[in-house]
Amino acid sequence: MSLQSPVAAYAGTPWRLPKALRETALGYAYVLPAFAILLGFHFLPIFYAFYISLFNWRIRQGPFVGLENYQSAVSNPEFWESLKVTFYYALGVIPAHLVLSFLIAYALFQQIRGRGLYRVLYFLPYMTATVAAALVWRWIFHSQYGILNLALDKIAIGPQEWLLEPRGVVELVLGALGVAAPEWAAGPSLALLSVIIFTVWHGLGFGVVIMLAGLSNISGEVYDAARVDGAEGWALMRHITLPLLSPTLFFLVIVSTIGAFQSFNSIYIMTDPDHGGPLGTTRNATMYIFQNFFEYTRLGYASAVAFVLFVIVLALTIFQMRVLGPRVHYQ
Amino acid sequence: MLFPFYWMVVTAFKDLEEASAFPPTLWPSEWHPENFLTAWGMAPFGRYFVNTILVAGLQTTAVLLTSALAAYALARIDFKGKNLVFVAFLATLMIPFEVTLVPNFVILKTLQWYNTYLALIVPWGTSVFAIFLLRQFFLSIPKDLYDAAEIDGCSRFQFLWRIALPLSTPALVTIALLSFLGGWNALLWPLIVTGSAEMRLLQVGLSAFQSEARVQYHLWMAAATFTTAPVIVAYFFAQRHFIQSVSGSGLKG
Amino acid sequence: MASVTLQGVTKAFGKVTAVEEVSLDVQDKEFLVLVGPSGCGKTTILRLIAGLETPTAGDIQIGQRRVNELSPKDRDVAMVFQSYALYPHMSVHDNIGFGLKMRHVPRPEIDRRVGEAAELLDILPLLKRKPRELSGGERQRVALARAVVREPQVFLMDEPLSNLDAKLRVQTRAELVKLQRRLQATVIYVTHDQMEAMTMADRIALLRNGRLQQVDTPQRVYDAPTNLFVAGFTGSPGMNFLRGRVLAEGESIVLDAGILHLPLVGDLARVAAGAVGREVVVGVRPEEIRDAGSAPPGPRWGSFRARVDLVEPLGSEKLLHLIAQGQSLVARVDPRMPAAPGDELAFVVDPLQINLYDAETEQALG
Ligand SMILES: Nc1ncnc2c1ncn2[C@@H]1O[C@H](COP(=O)(O)OP(=O)(O)OP(=O)(O)O)[C@@H](O)[C@H]1O
Ligand SMILES: [Mg+2]
Repeated sequence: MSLQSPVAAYAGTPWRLPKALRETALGYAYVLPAFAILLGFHFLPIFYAFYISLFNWRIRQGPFVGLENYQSAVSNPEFWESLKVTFYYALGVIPAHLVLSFLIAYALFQQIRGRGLYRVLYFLPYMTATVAAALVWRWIFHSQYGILNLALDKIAIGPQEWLLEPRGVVELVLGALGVAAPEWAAGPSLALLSVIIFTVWHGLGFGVVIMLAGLSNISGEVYDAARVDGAEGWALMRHITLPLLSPTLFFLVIVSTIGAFQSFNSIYIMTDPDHGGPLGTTRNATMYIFQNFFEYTRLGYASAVAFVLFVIVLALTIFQMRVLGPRVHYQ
Repeated sequence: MLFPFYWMVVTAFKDLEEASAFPPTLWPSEWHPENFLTAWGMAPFGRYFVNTILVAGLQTTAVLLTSALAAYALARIDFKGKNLVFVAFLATLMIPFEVTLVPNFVILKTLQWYNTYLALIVPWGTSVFAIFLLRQFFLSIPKDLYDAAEIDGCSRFQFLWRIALPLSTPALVTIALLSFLGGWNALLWPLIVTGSAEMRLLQVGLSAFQSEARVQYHLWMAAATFTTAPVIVAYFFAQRHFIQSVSGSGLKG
Repeated sequence: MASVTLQGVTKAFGKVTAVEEVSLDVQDKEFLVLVGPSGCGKTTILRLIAGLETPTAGDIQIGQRRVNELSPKDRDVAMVFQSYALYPHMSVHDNIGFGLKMRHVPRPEIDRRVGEAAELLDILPLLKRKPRELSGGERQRVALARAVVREPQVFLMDEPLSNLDAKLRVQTRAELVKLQRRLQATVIYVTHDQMEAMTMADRIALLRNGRLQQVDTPQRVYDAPTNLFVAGFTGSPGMNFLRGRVLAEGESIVLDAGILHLPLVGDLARVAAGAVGREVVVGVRPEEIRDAGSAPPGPRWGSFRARVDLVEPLGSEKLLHLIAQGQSLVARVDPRMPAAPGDELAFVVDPLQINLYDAETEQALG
């Protein structure tokens, strides 16, 4: 209006940064704390690990040795053995984890009543500290006093050494049938299998709850429509349940792979950490790194092994995403 | 599924002789509640508990703060490079813990944080999973609600504090529970960055107790019982929120 | 209360231009209704006025003050969202009072004003409940109360009645108008519903693809749509369109639209005189196609015969879908008129009640 001075017209609008810039500044300010921690303690250390691995690094930084640490890792059978244990472990845990949690979740899903309670109970092991739980299982698996051997006694299988048994499971089974297994086909040691059984038990609840969530996200109408279209039983499972559950399965595969590759607590508690379990048959890569780092203070060497492991896990994850990713049906 | 829990508690009440009898008994013939006191007295468990509650508590607080802020920015603020930041966050999920073990140890030594609470807390002061979960929750809050609040005069921070967070209670409870659990259950990291017994956390202490108590299995079980009990109690209180948010965590894709 | 002025306001989202060059003057205490097809930019205009979006170009004034740079908080507007956007974790009382709390209004005053607003909207007994414990209509009134309690300069409402059932909608419609009168409020109201637009508006603003088509009183918009789009959009069913040509026959100007041959009179004749020889589109509202039997035609009325294709009885009236020389038409007639599919009937049209549009520009002649 005519009475309004130019100054008054601007009185309500203090000077500000342009909106887009203000938003950007605000956005970064909000992500900064989390970002700093992740960057400083999770992201940059990868590069630092590589740097350390190029030195003969004991307690302090030593002379630069180039790729020598990698060379000595590759030529060390213990290193290969630890990778083998890691893979056996992953191959033992992941499929069992997926299949069992799917079956349990599916069974729970069919029956409405008590579902809540079962969820709570299945989740309980996951809530329990690995150390305490592993301690209990070590006791259950105990070769002399363990309750497991008592139970086996009842079904006419002789008592086993379990966590102390370095012999491969294939070797043991064939041996019981009177066949000698060739060395390469011995399979993971019974000790490792015991740890695998424990791990599956411990993590099952997580898988069940996630799968149940995935199952309940599938709308009942889709099932009804498929039934009207004539699908039932296995066809329903194959064409409706599994495809629609695939995002959940995919998530679980990725998560449990990463988890399996960094398993430590259970092995550390259940088997003798100083010797990598019976004859080193439960010394997985993490344990191997830990030993070289913590007991032999070979930081450079440990970093080299860790870096190799990192590359393997990365490649594996990317491989899974490439191969499985496109088969996932998002709704 | 639950047998190991039963077995743990039952064995904790037996005496050594009964515990190591073969065949084992399914029910203690004599109850020995004093096992708990014995086990408790054999190692500074009180100290372990205090350390662990302190570390896990502060860690949880830090995780809630940092992840709420980050998740909010990722869900509701339009800033340049947002997608890149989000991808970078998710990418850290693929880094196996072992790789960062040695370098972080060296870094902490340099910072002179070795054997301090800082070393136990700071590196775990945020969580990508928490950020992801909260972001999903925040995204599910209708945009209209945000606009309505803006017209009502809410600043961004007020919206986060008064509206977004209260509406995300299940996620917050879940995150709190999981990160407290993470702190409570940690073994490898505290094993490496602490040296003295008075800095030990519970799981390190428990694992040391295993060798200290030698073959007194009933005492193992007693110690395992009293170290798990608090978490299980907490879980039973939080489980309603917990299951709800895991179930609704947007794993739909 | 205050007026709202948009001057050449444009809003682009990347490549999409949601609002283009809109200039609009909303008077103080006016009830302006924004209508237009889905995606035409109605919500965007409200959000621009509220300050939830920044215009790409142009100025927005509220009460003579330029508000382009002002945040929503400082614009003193209240908005009722289509989804209501109630805060799910707060009680009805806290929902209504939240805006006051954010402005540091003292507690007792908040309580008093929330009480007043609740009384006005008849939701006093609901104050303690949470939004999920309310019915759709109750929620909608809470959303209104949340706006009312602020006593803002301008109310912005985005299809606030669209989630209600038909009966409640009619009822609330009337209440809203009364409320606006009582509060002496400036209201900008978006709706899809023609009835709402006609009954509630002081003026209607019609949008298409982000451009303003016509701003006028409901009656004027209905009677004299400025272009074919507005003509087709208003009314239900919409206007009938026939292609034709303006001819000069001696002294008089005549419209030849195939089935319909009409001498033009009055204003229309004057307007059409400039378009002799040109292609035009004739618009006839369904109620202006009358049954020749019951309505004695005036002297210069045109007539035509058509076959009834379909009859839609609506109770108070009847819609006849007609076919005349391959041309489809809809007539709105008395429900008692005897008509069955297949009948050949005669109809008449008053030349004063038609609209003419240039076939090329689609604008009203004149
Ligand atoms: N944030 C945005 N980003 C990109 N395009 C948008 C955005 N908001 C609106 N648009 C586009 O702008 C146009 C107008 O949208 P607007 O929401 O204003 O329509 P509307 O008239 O309210 O429609 P409806 O009646 O369906 O609610 C649409 O084409 C829409 O796709
Ligand atoms: Mg809209």
